Amino acid sequence: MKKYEGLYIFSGAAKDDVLEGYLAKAVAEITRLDGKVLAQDVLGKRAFARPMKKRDNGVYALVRFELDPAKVGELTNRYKLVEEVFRVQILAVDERREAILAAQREAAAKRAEIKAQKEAAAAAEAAAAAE
Amino acid sequence: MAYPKRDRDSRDDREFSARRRPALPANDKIDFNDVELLKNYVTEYGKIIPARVTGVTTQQQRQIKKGVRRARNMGLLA
Repeated sequence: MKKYEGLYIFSGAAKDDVLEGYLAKAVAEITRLDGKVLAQDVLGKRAFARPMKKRDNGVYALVRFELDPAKVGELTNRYKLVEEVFRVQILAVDERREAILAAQREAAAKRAEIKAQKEAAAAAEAAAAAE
Repeated sequence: MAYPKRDRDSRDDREFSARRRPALPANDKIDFNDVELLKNYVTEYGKIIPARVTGVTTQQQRQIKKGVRRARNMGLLA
């Protein structure tokens, strides 16, 4: 079993309750192939950067799941038959890379914090000198 | 007729120096899902900017390419 992350696009006109049904259908395809859903998150409605199939917006959802690598092709083919799923992108999760990116973000946040503190200290000094 | 040898590096700098973006630290990886970061490396028309202009490493440029193509596929970038 390998970890995958699926980014789904559903119709932009779908309301919350209808959207839940769509997401449940998408997730059912995963469990149908003996996959295990780890996490799911609705990212919200977004406008497309360019029109796709005469649509301008869609609701994005992210689902993280575990599945046998041999069944991923079958899952992709099944999604072509599910009308509710407008588009799907399934990518393998690279946990080592994610850990490196998380560490990078932390380091960048720390650098930004130190910079903000230095700027605040410099501003305070300048204000004290002006007085 | 023999032409003087062009100094390609300085010529590139003159042409593109106005558009040069800050380079990332060489060891930094590019997050494929960070569309806001990827937008820094495409033109206004959505074309990927060459590494010689942005100053990123070859490996980072490949990651940018991968991320931009995925984002285009999912309608996040033009």
